[in-house]
Amino acid sequence: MSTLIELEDVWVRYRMAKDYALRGISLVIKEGDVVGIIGPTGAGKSTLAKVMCGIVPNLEPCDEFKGHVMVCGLDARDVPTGIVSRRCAMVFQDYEAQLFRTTVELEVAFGPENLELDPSEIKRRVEWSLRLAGLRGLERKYTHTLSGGQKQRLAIASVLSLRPEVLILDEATSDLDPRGKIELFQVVEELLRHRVIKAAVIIDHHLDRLARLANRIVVLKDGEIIEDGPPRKVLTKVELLKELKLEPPQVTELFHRLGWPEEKLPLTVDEALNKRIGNVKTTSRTSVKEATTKLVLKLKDVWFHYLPGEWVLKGINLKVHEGEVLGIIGQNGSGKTTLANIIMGILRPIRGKVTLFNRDVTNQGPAARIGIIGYVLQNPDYQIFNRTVYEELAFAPKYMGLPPEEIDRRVRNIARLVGIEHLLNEDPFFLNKADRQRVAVASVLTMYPKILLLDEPTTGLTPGETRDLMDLIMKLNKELGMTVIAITHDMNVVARYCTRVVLMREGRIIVDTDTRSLFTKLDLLRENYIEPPQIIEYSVRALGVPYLTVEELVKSIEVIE
Amino acid sequence: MRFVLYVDVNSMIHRLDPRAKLYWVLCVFIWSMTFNHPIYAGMVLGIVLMTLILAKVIKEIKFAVTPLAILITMCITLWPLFRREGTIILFGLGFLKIYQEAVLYAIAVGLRLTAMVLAGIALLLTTRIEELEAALVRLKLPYPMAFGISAVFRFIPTLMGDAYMVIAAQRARGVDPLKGSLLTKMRNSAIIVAPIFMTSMRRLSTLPLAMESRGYIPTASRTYFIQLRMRATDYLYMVITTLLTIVFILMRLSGIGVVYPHYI
Repeated sequence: MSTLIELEDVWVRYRMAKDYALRGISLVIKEGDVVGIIGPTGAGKSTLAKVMCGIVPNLEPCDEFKGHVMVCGLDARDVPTGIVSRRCAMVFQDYEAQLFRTTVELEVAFGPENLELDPSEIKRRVEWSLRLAGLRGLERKYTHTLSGGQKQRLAIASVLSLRPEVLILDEATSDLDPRGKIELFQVVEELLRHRVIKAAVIIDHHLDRLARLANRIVVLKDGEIIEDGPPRKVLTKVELLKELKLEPPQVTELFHRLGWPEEKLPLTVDEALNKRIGNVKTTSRTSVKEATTKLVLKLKDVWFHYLPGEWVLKGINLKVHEGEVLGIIGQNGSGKTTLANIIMGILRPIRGKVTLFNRDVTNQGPAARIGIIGYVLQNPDYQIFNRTVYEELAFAPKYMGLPPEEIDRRVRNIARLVGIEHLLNEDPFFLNKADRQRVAVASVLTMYPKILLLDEPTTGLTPGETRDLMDLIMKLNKELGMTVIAITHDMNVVARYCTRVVLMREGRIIVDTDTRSLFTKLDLLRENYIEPPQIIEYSVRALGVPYLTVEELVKSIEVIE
Repeated sequence: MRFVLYVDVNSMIHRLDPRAKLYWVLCVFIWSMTFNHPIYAGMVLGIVLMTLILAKVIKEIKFAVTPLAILITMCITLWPLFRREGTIILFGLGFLKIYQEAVLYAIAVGLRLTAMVLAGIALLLTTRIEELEAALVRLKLPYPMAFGISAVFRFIPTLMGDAYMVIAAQRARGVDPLKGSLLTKMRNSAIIVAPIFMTSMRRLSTLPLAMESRGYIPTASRTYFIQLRMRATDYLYMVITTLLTIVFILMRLSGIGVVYPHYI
């Protein structure tokens, strides 16, 4: 098989950076390779991807760049990025940044236009790419009218139309709902099978999904490759992965903790089902912490539309009790964020009633909810504007008119709780995304809200960062009795943290139940394109009962000698 | 919120080649400057309005009515104060004299500006930005410039979306940047402007990266998805427009349609 990409001892230090982003990377990617690149934040995954498609060092300023990069027979340093990207194209992690044309079809046509193709050929490629990305019928739509998931699909289509030999996906499915993720990986598989693309490089945190797709896993740490091999060899190193704060496939972890040797660990649910684990005492299942019965928030028959006739919420009934951790799940466009905006008072219901601590707040704005509900939006950058983290945290209490000593006490208290004490004097603009997300959460917490409302709090975070953030939120839930309402796509977050789940579809709540009951209904989940975490699928299929986490199941197992 | 002026209906005007429409806008500008008598300026405005009716988009100019009315009113009240020549005094108070010619001229200026603004709006109502971009490229404007024009239109909705989210985020923190006295609003403006600015900077700094990672080379030639073809109707339309221009200029040269012959 011919070599497509060859990196030889590549060192990268970005401008003004103290440390190297990559330290002596050597990597060969051959035809037919599907390489999964994994590693903790700051390990250099995105930098590596950018080196492969010629962005680094040609477009992003580096103080130092050493080594050789050959991409499809081109020396990536000698030719412009525009040439390299025709052979080896990348879908960015931040898909919004990749879109710059007015309409869907022009966005996709931009690549082929640069290739100086005939208009008729461009049209064929546009149709082909849009069909693969599942966007047919939206050709003439304006990009800004698309949903987040559709935009991400568009970013992928716009790269596919270049017909590159190598496709790089840098967390290119982060904003897709579970259904979208499954579909896109199927597209990649198909392209590879039909040899439309010759190799793929995929940066993704979902190791169970990578295990199915990739034939090779590269683990990066501090800019160096520390593992490189087939999934069966790399993903079974459970201790190493956990140390890097990555989440190994859950069935792999389960069997590892049951003492199975590395070479016998399963990677998928089907493999796991073929192995016997021993007797399971179903009795020791930890029961869900009962929520206290005090009602804090009640929505009664809430209807909402942006445009008359197009109802986005169709009669929402929801009761939230004190101390609950409620997860709101559902496909893109099912009305989750609109519901959050109604709860916060940013939008007012057209019909229906919103009650907060027995007070009717239906027609009151966010001001009536300050100190009661704290709302954290998906993108932390929308709310950060102060010059230091301290000022950011102090802003809301200051605005509430609290005395300076009280403000200072709150800021320090919350900073300690959230773990950003050391950042108080930093400029939030220069922090990484996970830290900015923490600052955003903290700046809401200083209002001491009784309910924390989070819209996709973990999108774009690594599993380790997700764990840390959610653990923190659970600490608030336990120590301060804070009620938590979280909109999320991440089923691991739901299974591990939520006590109750609401499933939305087309503006309606179709399921409202405790987490464990939700996950017993595998058919219902499949119908709604929700992929349960491996451990749940495994336990339901093997034992008939859902276990929400690996720990839970491990505790219940008596190993047969 | 509506960010795109273009209205997708099928009309004779919509079907015209954008280059023919650009030429028409240019000619409307010439016609407007040709006459300074209100009846003739009104005639030019009439042609623009007729075109909007033909394009089935006349109802879409509602948003422009108030600003244009303000523009006309300002012209009519201010011009006569400064243009103090003529033969017929309508009104005199000490040194302040208002001439009939000046009033007529002022009305003509108001109508003329209205015609020009509406001609531009008519273009945007009937032509997609991307068609306009394609037209500008065919007219030999360098691609980066044509791209820049469409990019401005492309990023306006994004910017507005960001602004909406920023306001929502700040309202969720108890500050309503849109409420309060003017002074409060000004003090609060930083909390909207700073995040929008930062977000936009993050976006725009990656734009060259995004373009080049899709095979774009700034200096290289490229082909275009949108194909423009001048058809017989386009040429006919341009011929009629040209003939009108000639007729109007000849009228002006023979002293028709003017209040002040020596002013534009």
